[in-house]
Amino acid sequence: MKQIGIWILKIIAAGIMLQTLYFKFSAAPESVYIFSTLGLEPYGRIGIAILELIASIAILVPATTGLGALLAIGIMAGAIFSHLGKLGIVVMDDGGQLFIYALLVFISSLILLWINLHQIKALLYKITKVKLILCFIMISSINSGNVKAQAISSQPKQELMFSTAFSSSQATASIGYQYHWQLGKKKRWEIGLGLRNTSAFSSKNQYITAPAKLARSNTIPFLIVFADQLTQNWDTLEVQRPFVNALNLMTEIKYHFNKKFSVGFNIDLIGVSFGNSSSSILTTNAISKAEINTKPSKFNLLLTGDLDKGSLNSEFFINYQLSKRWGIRAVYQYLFTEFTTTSIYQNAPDGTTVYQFRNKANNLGIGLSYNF
Amino acid sequence: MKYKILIVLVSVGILSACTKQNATPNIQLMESIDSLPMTSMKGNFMNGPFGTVSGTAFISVINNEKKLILENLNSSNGPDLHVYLSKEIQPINFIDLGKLKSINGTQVYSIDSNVNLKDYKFALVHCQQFNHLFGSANIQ
Repeated sequence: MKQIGIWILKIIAAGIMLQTLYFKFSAAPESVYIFSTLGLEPYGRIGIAILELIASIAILVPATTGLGALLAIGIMAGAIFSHLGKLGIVVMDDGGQLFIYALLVFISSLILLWINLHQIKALLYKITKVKLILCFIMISSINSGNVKAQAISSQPKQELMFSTAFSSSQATASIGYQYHWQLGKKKRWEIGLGLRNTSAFSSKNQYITAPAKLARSNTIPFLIVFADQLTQNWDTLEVQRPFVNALNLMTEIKYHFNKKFSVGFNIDLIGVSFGNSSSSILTTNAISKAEINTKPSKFNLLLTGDLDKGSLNSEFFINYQLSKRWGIRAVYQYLFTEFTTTSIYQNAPDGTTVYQFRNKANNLGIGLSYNF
Repeated sequence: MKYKILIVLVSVGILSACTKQNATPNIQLMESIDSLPMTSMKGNFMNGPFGTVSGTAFISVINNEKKLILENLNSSNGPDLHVYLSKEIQPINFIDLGKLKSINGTQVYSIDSNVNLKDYKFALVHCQQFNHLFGSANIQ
């Protein structure tokens, strides 16, 4: 009897989300209206539709119901807040139908989460375990270098990594050190924490207005990635000889398909940048201003999308293990670099002055890893 | 062996990224200026600290269509040479008229019609990337 009840809840939650997906993916006028009002059209509409699809599938699969419900709660909380705020409860004369749907999914997911709380607990336990080890290692490595070897029961793995990547406008080289923890029964997953320096140089490069509130229509963390680009607010700073070193704390997640192949993603979290001063030119309506002391922005911090500060590297890679120690990898790099001007600045349409300018580059390259 | 191939590939990648050619052409340019009405605004080029430039800069205005004419220009070559109309001899506030078309000959550059020519007294041949002044003409 309880099982039937659970399945009814699953069908309500997943069913409602799945049937609205059609409208989102097919750009139905209601969906487009909603996401335009929120300033998230079209990437937000598609991004949230994809998240809802993931949540629906996860809810229907027994092993991941709790996680799916948690994701659905997050999405629906956003939806309910939007209805109570900008959108209004009644959207395009629907008599509040969409709002009630959102509430139904929210409540069903809440119950499903409650029933499957053990799934979340198990995951949290794993994460906390990693965190505790991490803290312990940080503390013990400050005290003395060798204590950690005895202190952890799991298999630590150290890695040196090198990569170089290019695009038509930029060349980069990075070098880093990482400490890995293996997760899962079969130890296929690895989480790493490390330090990486990424050097980026180009002959001449375009940097655009960096502050998130000018660059994007929406500045909610994570969702900003899907927000409209406000190109009318952008000015372009051409840095003549950019050279940035971004030294950042970074994290990585990696999955091993087998002994030879693995895929992973890493991203810089926080750090500092240094590099040469360069001359730069800011052009507004064909009138240019130049200065000679444009410098890389000193402080880097990951806050997602255009909220980011400074210069941050992230890489997707496919790694092939040549030997036990050496691996070679194909790298797709998404690199933010940021420069700060000294005497020239943009007068933004909202009346603020802008000294920070950002370049986002998609680079392709190769890398090496050495494990010890 | 694998490592050797890798090293070669990386080196080729790095080298090819650094050898971007951006010097100015040196073909003798003879753009026609016969039909362009000259104003009295002109000046002769003088050498800057980083190059040698000779020739004359003229301003032409026809139906509010503004042009800068560099007559019999002769400039030393360098990377990323641009033609500027600038308020200062060392450009801080300026209009970028584009890349220098050739280091010798007569050439014509369009100026945005909104530009107040009285504010921009200097025609410059400027190496943009390294911020080096090759030559300047004070237009009076």
